[in-house]
Order: sequence, then C-alpha cells, then structure tokens
Amino acid sequence: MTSPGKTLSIRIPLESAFLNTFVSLVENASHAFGMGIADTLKLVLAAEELFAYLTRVGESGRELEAECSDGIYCVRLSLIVPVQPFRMEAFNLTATFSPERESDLEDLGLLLAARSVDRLQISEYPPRGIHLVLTKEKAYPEEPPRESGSEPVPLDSFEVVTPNSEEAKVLASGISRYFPASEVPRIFHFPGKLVDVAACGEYGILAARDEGMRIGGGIVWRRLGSGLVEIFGPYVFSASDRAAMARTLLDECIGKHGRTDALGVICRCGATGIPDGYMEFLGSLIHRRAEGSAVSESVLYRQLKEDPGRSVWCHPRLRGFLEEQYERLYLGRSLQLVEPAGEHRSAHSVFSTEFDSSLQTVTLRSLWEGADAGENLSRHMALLRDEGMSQVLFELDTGKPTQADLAPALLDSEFEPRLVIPHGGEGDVVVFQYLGNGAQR
Amino acid sequence: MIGFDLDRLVPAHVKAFDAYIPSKPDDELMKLYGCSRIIRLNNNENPLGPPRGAREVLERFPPPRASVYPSGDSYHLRCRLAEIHGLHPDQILVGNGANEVIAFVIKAFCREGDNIVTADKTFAVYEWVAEFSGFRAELVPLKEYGFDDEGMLARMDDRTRILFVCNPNNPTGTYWSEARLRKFLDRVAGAGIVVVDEAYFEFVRRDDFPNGIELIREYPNLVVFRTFSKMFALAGLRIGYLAGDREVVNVIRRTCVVYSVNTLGQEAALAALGDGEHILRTRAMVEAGKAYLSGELNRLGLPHVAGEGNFLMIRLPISDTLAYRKLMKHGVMIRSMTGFRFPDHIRVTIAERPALDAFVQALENILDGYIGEKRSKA
Repeated sequence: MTSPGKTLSIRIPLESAFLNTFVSLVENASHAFGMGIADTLKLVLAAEELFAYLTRVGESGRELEAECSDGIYCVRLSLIVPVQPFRMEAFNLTATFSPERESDLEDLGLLLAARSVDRLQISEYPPRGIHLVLTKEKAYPEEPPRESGSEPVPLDSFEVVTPNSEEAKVLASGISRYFPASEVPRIFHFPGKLVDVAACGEYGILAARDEGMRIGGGIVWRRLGSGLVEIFGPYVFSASDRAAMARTLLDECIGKHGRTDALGVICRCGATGIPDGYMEFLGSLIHRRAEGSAVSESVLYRQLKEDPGRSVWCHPRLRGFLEEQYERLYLGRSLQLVEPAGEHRSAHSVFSTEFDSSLQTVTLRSLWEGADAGENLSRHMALLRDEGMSQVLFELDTGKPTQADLAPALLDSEFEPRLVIPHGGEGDVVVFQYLGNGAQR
Repeated sequence: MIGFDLDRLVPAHVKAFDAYIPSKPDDELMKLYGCSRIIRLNNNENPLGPPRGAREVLERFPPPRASVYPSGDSYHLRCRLAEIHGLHPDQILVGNGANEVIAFVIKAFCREGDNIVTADKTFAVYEWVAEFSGFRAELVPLKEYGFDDEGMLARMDDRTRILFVCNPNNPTGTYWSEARLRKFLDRVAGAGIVVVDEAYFEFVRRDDFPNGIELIREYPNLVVFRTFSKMFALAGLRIGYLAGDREVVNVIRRTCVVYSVNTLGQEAALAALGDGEHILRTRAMVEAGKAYLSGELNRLGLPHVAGEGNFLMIRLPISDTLAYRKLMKHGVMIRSMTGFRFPDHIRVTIAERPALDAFVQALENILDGYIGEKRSKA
C-alpha cells in the first residue's frame, strides 16, 4: 500500500485495443491504494464499461486523460474526454435509452458505471471536453447502534479544538448514540471513515473538549462545489450549557470559513442544534426515510460575505417564485426576463448527472440547452425511476441565460422549485425537486 | 480560438484564494435594494470630508495637470512628513493607500517558506497579501478583544519575517500601551520586522497610547503605517505611507511601485497635514456619536465593543450578513464581521447624528422584525 495522496496519470488513445491497458492501470492502482478486492473489482467494472462506452460514442484519434488517485477513504478515477460540441448528447445518462425497450440498458455505459461506484459526476471541462469522476469508497466497519444509556456527565467548561483521530471517533460515537438517526448523516456510523475523510481534507471537524479530555459535542463540515460549505450540527451531547456550546462551535466553524473563498454555509441535516437567528430558512426538500415515510427537511443557509446584489436570468414562468424568494430573503436582485424569440436553438440538450448512492439522490444539471429538454427530462425520469433513486433534484443556474429556458420543461415535467441557494453557481441556483407520479410527497 | 489551459498556469496559492468583491456603486445598490439613498457606515470614512486645505487643492486643481505624471516618489509629501516626524525623507515611503505599503513590506522580506504572524480577528489585508503571495499567515487568537503579545511571540519561528500589529485594532478598538509595545519589541529583539499599523492613530486620545514613529530610532526593525483615508478623509484618493529605519526603508523601496500615487492625492495630503482644527472637529463628532450610539444600543439591549477609532462593533441576535441585507433595504450600509471572524457582529462607522439616527431606526426595525418572525414561528 502506498502513502496517501498518491496519483497515477496516463494519456491513452480511446481505442478498444487499449481497454485492457486502461483496466489494468485502474486495477493495479486501486490495489496499491489499499482498496479491498471486492471494491476494486467494482471500480474496474465501472472503468471498463466507461472506457468501452467512450470508444463507441466518439470519433477516432482521441486521447483520454485519466488520473487514478488515492483519496484515503476512496479511490477516485478522473477522466477528461475530448468531445466535439455536437457530440455532447452522448453524455446524457439516457443517451441510448428508450423507456419502451429494456434491452437498451446494455448500451448504457454511463449508467452501468454509475451502478458500480458510490459517486459518478459528469461536468463540463472547457475547452477540453467532459470531466467524469468515478469515486469508489473503501469498506469501513459500521459501529453497531447502541442504547443511549445514561446521560453523560456534562462538561462545565470546554475549548473548541480540531480533534485527533481517537477524539473524532469518540465524537462520532457520541453523535450516533445520543441523536436520532434522521438527524445524523450515515458517515457518523462509520467512525473510521469520518477520520479518513477528515485526514484527506474533504471534511473538517471541530470538537468541544474539557480539561479532562472529554468530548461534549462537535460540528462537522464539507465543501460542496466551489462556493458552499455544508455543515452537520452542531451536535451537543454533554454540556452544562448546551446552547453556549452549540453557539461556540458554530462561531468557530463560521469563523474558520469567514476568510475563505466560500460564500455561504448550508445545513440539510442536523439542524436541530442551530440556535434561533443563526441561519436563514431557504426552503425544504422531501426525503423518504428507510421505513418509507416521507418527511420535509429544512434547508438552512448563512451567507459568509456581504451580498453584492446581482442580476439573474429568469423565465417568466419562474418569476413569481423568484420574486417571492428574493423578497423573503432580502436579496437585492434584478430579474432579467428571458423569452425565446424564434432564434435558432440546438436540437439536443445534455444534463450532467451526479449520483450519490448513500443518499439515494441524483442531482441533474444542465450542460447544454436544447429544444428536446422536456423529452430528455422525461427519459431521465423514466430511467431513474427504474434505478430506484428516491430523490431527484435539478439545479438551475440563474447566472446562465440559456438555462432560464429550462424552467418550462422542468415545471411541465412535474419538477417543483423548492428553494434558491444564493450564489450557488455562476448565479443563484434554483433547486427543483421531482414531485411527480412515483415520487415521494 | 486556440486551446488555453489556464488552470495549468495558475499557482496553487493563487487558486486557493478568492478575489475580494467590493461593494457596487451607490446607484447600482439603490436599484438592487430598492432604496432611495445609501448611508455608508461600512468603511470607517470621515463624514466631515477632507480638511479645508485639501478641499482647496481639489477645487483649484488645473485639469491640464492631469496629463503630467505625478512625482514618482511623492517627494514633497515625504519631505513634509519627515519634517513633522523628525525623520529623514528617505525614511518615508508613500503608497496608493496603506494596502499598497503592506504589499511592499511583505514582498521585501518574505521568501518561499517564510511566514508572517498577526491576529486572527483584525484587518484582513495582512493575511490576504501574505497568502496570495504564497506565504503562510500564522494567526494568533485575540485575547479579550486585543492582540495577544505572548501568543504572537510564542508563534514566532525561524521562518517568521514580519509581525503585524494593528494599533488600535480594527474592528475591536483595543490598543497596546507604549509600555506594552516596547516590551514586545524588546522581546522580538530584532528577530523580525514589527509592523505597527496606526491607521486610526489620530482618533486616539489616550495618554499611554504610543506614537510608533517616535520609537523607530530605538527599534530599527519597527515599521509604522499611517493613512490619509480615515481622519483626513482622502480615502477616494488612495494615499498612505510607512515610516521606518532608513536602511529598512531602503530595502522596502526596492519592491515599491513608483508613480502609483496620483498628483491630487499627494497635494491634498500635503495640504491636509497639520490641520489641527479638522482633527479636533472630527474627534468631537466621533466622541459624541459614540456616546449617542452606545446609549441607543444599551437601550436596545445589544452588546457592543466601543474602543478607540471611529467605529464600534455590535453583536446581533441574527446573522450579520442577513442584517447587512436587511439594513440595505433601509438604505444603510454597515460592515458585516464574519469576514473578520466575528460571526453575528457588525461594525458601524461613527458618523453625524442624522446618519446614526437612520441607522438606529433601521436596526430597531429589522430586529423588531426578527422578534416578530420568532413569535410567528412559535
């Protein structure tokens, strides 16, 4: 096994003759990075499907830039694929999918790859093409659920520290034990994984610790894209003044990000410990719990920078929703209405897809706008229903004028605008959720 | 269009840094926030405007002179400043605002692997310039809202090149006495450059407050910053300066950009110096404004920190960035303090009574609203 953070890179012709070379690289790198045999095989399967698919959909003579890296808790395969704009539609998850013909599933290289890994992200990589990232996580032992038992002795005084790995595990155990499962992300049930995601820098952790080195609570965060930080908590399970500990943890966490490039903090899970007035209510998303019931979960937000105000692109059908949100959130926005005036439009639309299998969530984003957006959405929904994904979100970026045109297709496809994330993309991001037939209410 | 891989060309420390986004001009802000005027209480500007001499310079400036380059090293201004402070003109360097002289000093003394030491909750530019130049900023937590001298000394290592002390500190208004500053300089013992930023020097009326420039003779590693943006109300002309030991300044001068200070700025600054009446009027306005605002904040039950300088910091029961947006809807602009690592705090510039009245009224309004929201949720 290598030391963490190592990367192997290769430029390889996108031709079927090189399939084995590519697959061998992924397999050997994955072994070297300490991935178990079963997980390595899944990653190899995904890599194989993807490579084969890419050789089929593109013109010859292209080279793939591949990078296999050790993410400590995962192995990540990053691919940059040169693509001519007119061939972009091949990167729709549903490129060859027809809901009427089951057999076509065999041709769905992207989908098959997505099934074998924990995350598949597809995004634009201008001007070089498309960027695909496959993430396969290593297996960690799950901490068995424990009785909450007696209340721990509350901490009277404490300091906020970055915990060492043992303290982080104690924190994870405490959170799992004293908080209901619905308020705790799955990662807290895998203390070893929490330590590793912090070690690789994807997550940050702060803990409240007293002089006796006891842990009374903590807060965890991760970066979401370039401008957002997602926080989990604060979780306080042992403090004589719980509110004070929660506030101190939040202040330290917000202070840590105050001078970074992050523009905002978002909380979608574990918000019960957030003091009143600390964050703003953006809206809610509907989640299906394991037992099948649907619950509405609040999305909270806090800006880290003074809002400079901005113009946003908006379709007339979304105007009412946006005006209401901006008024409620006191955001200075100038709405620029976009309406087609008979100009030429590309025939095909392309949506990027981000699968998160642990959350049973798929997030769609627009890579390329085209006249078939409505049909493309229908195809995606049919496919995702078959895949059993319980939550489908679509993020529309109001900073891109061509995306405004997608609003009618989304609204007509039973997507509902749920909330606006200020500066969540190039502009504010409107999060739509599919609430149509078969979706949870 | 040719292919261009920008990503490959950008150093990691620049990639990791985000560009500062200044606020939009007032006309744009009024449109966006739907207000009919903007009262700017965000930048610690002096609402009384420049001293009379500086105003006259601005009014009688002949437009044709705009076509001629300014004095490249602000010659006359340096001579006058040297005379006032009892220094040689070569001990003064004038820059395009104090921000520029911060960059000069860091460029002059830091090389790869070096670091600077400063506080975590202070003026951000020391930290920013260090980090986007590829140097580490060691940040020492404030102690009781003030710079922690022992903490800074403990944080020094053999790669520390500069220690930045903001005296009085922006945004808390705390300060080190002369005795404390001397003790700190003695303990540093020439192991690094000590920069004392005295941007708010002219506002302080405490007997034990040090005049850093007077200490330069004894401590050749001391560099002092002053600005014309605050007390002298020339923020729009961007002009500030540093003073230090002649040899030290000679090193810093090698990294400085000549001709960066415009003619109007140099001449207005020259004319502003020594206007004691302007300083007295401003101090009186700040004193009265601070007393009034402090009283109003006590009435509203809002904790606040009112130290030295023409500003005051308030803790709110709501997010500071939300307060910023709500106040903007009322046409009042303050500085949110999350960027200073004081979440839920705002900093307000002390201004004349009508502006402070407008602020208090707007603040009361937005906090009443908050209480209302809480009640309706319950």
